[in-house]
Amino acid sequence: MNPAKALGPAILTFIAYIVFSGSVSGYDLITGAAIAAVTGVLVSDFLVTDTRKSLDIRRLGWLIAYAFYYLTVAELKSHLSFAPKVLSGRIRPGVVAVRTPLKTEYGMVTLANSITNTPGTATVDIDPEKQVLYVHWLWVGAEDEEEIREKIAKPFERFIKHIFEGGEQA
Amino acid sequence: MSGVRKVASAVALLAIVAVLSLGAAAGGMGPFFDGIRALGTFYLSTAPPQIAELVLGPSYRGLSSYSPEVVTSIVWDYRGLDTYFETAVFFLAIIGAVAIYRGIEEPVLRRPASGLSPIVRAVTKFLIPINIAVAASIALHGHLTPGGGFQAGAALAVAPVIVIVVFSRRYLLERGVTKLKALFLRSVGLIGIALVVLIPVIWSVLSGEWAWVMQNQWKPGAEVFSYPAYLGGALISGSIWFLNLFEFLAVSFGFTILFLLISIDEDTVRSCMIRGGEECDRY
Repeated sequence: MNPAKALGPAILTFIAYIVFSGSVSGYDLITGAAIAAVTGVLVSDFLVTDTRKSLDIRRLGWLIAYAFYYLTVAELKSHLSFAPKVLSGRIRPGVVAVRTPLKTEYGMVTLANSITNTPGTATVDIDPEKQVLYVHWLWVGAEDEEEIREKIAKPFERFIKHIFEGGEQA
Repeated sequence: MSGVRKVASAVALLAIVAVLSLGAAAGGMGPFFDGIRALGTFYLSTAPPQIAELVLGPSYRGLSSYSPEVVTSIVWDYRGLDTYFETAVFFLAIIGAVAIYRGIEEPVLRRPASGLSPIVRAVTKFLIPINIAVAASIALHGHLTPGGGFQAGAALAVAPVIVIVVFSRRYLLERGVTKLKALFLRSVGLIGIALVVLIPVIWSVLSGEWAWVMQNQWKPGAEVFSYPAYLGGALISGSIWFLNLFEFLAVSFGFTILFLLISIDEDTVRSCMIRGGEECDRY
């Protein structure tokens, strides 16, 4: 058991507990802290592989910045480009392979879900060994491997790299 | 079953019925009401302490369960004995399932279980602690908001189910969520419930003062014993808080046992699909 390792999941549990209870009385804070401590210890091995990374405040900052960028800029851009295609009904669908430099499980999954959650693209599968995502694209706008990556994954990878990748501990 | 045992169990059953009827006939059921509506009005106006004080005046505490959540008050206080036996029935159902599946050995794994895609696995990992937080919140606020021990237990039992579907049953067993541990925690929950129900009686025997089985707040005729309605300024509604907590343990791990028993290893399913015949006949 490693208390530092349990801290990240414990904070997540505590926030979920307080938000779901919808109250911040002394009773909620005390019971929430107790539940968070127990849950943090129970799930830490399941959830955390690198304690130092899970408690890195700069990575958290990048995560918040990414959430802001994703929910405003990325979503808007994507909607603007795909709304005309959907309305006119002129589509050119296909599945493309996107190669990514991301290596970690969380990094690749965040990229896959980011791609899925913007209109026009949906991740069908990921191959963690080959570092390839298979993406269904409503309007296949590129043939070249590098160009595909540029259009689909690059804007997200820039942030995800800072959140999950690098700084691996020996 | 031999003849003597049959007679003995019939006599025991009849004795239980007779004793309970005698208690009811002697006034052990408390006041009776004319019709359902009067009973409903009584529950609604006495369960929350503030309203009970308005309706009944200073003597309110003897009829209030000190919980603003009226359904929970009925379930764990006004008709608490009924819920107690409901829990016993659920426990027997699980014991029955454990007995049916007895002696089944864990099959040896031929290849590691792979589960669903990495996307589903990673997202599920984050849902587990959130699931636990939500279930615990339902249990610990059972005396204040709708929900309570059983609902919270059912909510927590979602966690083992999604782990079994997403990661495979083997994954859960390897991380120490085994049938034996779940059975132990379920028993802790049940013993806790039985203790909370019997503490007033034990106290009564030791002190010589009168108290009812499953008594929560003091009652007319049993004024000395009372579970604390407040703890450190927070309303915990006496025994209701403890009963919710123990029921939460008992129900969640009861369901976990069932899910572990009825699910099949990913490895076995694949063997059955590939080879067919003998592999499938086992299930």
